[in-house]
Amino acid sequence: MKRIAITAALAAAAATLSMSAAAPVRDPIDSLVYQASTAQTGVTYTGLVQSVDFNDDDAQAVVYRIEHRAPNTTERIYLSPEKLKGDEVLVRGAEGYFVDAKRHRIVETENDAVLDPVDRNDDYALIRQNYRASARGDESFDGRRCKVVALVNRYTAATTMIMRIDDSTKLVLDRQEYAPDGTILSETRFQEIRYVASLPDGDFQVPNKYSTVQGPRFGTSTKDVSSLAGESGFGARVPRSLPEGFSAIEGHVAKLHTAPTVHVLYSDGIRTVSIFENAGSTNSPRPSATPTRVGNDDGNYLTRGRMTLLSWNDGTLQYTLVGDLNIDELKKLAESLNH
Amino acid sequence: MNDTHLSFEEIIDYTHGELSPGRDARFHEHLAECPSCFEAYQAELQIGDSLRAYARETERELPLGFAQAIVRKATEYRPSIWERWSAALRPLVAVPVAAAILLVAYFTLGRHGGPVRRFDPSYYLEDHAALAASVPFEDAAALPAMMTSDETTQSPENTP
Repeated sequence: MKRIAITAALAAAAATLSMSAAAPVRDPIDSLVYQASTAQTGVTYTGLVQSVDFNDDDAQAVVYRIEHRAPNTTERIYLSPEKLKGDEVLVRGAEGYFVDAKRHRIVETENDAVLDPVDRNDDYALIRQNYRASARGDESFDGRRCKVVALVNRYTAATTMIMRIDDSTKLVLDRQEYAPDGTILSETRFQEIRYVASLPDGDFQVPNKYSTVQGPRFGTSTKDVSSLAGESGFGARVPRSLPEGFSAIEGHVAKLHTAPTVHVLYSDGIRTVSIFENAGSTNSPRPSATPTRVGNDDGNYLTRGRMTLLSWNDGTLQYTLVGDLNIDELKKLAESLNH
Repeated sequence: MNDTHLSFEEIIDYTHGELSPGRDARFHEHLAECPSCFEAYQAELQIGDSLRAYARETERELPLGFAQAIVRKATEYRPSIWERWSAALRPLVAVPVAAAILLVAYFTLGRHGGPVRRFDPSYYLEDHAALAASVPFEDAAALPAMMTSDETTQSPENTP
């Protein structure tokens, strides 16, 4: 864990900004990673994707059919598991629609940051800052020539991600994510892919037979964590230390069942963690959550696929951390919020 | 946005996905802004979770032939006149007792038991996934929390 003050975090964000604006990507492998990170904006395709999340207890596999139209329109229709069958996620730019076929409802979300090219460059700069790209040779993946690239964490020297990048389109056809101890966390791969010239508008229509309800909207967000904490009105806290390489990506204040909640997303470019804080009531644990301690306070955690959630109350504020960090990393981060 | 609070029966129907689609969607939205309905809904979920947890804890393997032995005994058994009379009265006692237990649990765990919320992961997973979608190579689509965390689409074993 690296000690940071909020000013240091802001300085890092500023440095990242200048880095993304000024530094051309000269190394061919770095260049390939950059192209891969933005490939979706230039290619239209249809395909079948399988994604598997692993944790200590089990693995969760999801299969979905995907249609993507450049630059930023995507529809995913879920085929498996049974509980998701028929559900659909439609993303049109900043707008997202989660179609729940069983409940006949559509949850609408919005995140303007998805469209912001400056944010995209910042995010890529963060990857460069924290990860070294390493070529692992060429392969054939489902009949397509691919470059295999590993992203190695500069602090731990652990391989965090291995990608198979299509030579012709730079699209990532297979991606494996690893924990610091080398165990695999997830794999997402195309089982089939077909590049096409265009896809009709009709493929990306929001179904009109269901009721639409409002989900999370992230129109106004900020990287300025300290001002966000100040705006909260309940003395939200800023972590005194973050995992190596992590910095604030964006944050906002939202209402969670009428209680103002500060949500800040932190990332090192690949891994992400969110900190939620509110002055609301105590969360009682669900029966299958595992009890734990955060400093002197009782807490609970649970895993969902590769995501871990840790929640506790220090008598003043309710905290929940969510991310693809393990419970030990989350607890370190949690303890840095305790004053 | 519907400002009308749901009845206890409607909350139960919502929990089990039995409301009409339009009503279900409106209640889903209403829950986000109505603390009293949210608390009542949480209490209903808590009762269900507790019952499922208790059932799992007390589940026992039956010895071979146990079920057949019960069926055999039941078919051979002839109740007395007193037993038949008391059995007829049993629903008159059992139904009010069950209703009283449910009401006590509802009011104790829910609206009047203080602001106790469950560690409900769906909101946090949804919000995290929505913000993290802007990070390169992030695959927020793999397991859409909005759907997998949905209160009735999980088996008890998978429900944190």
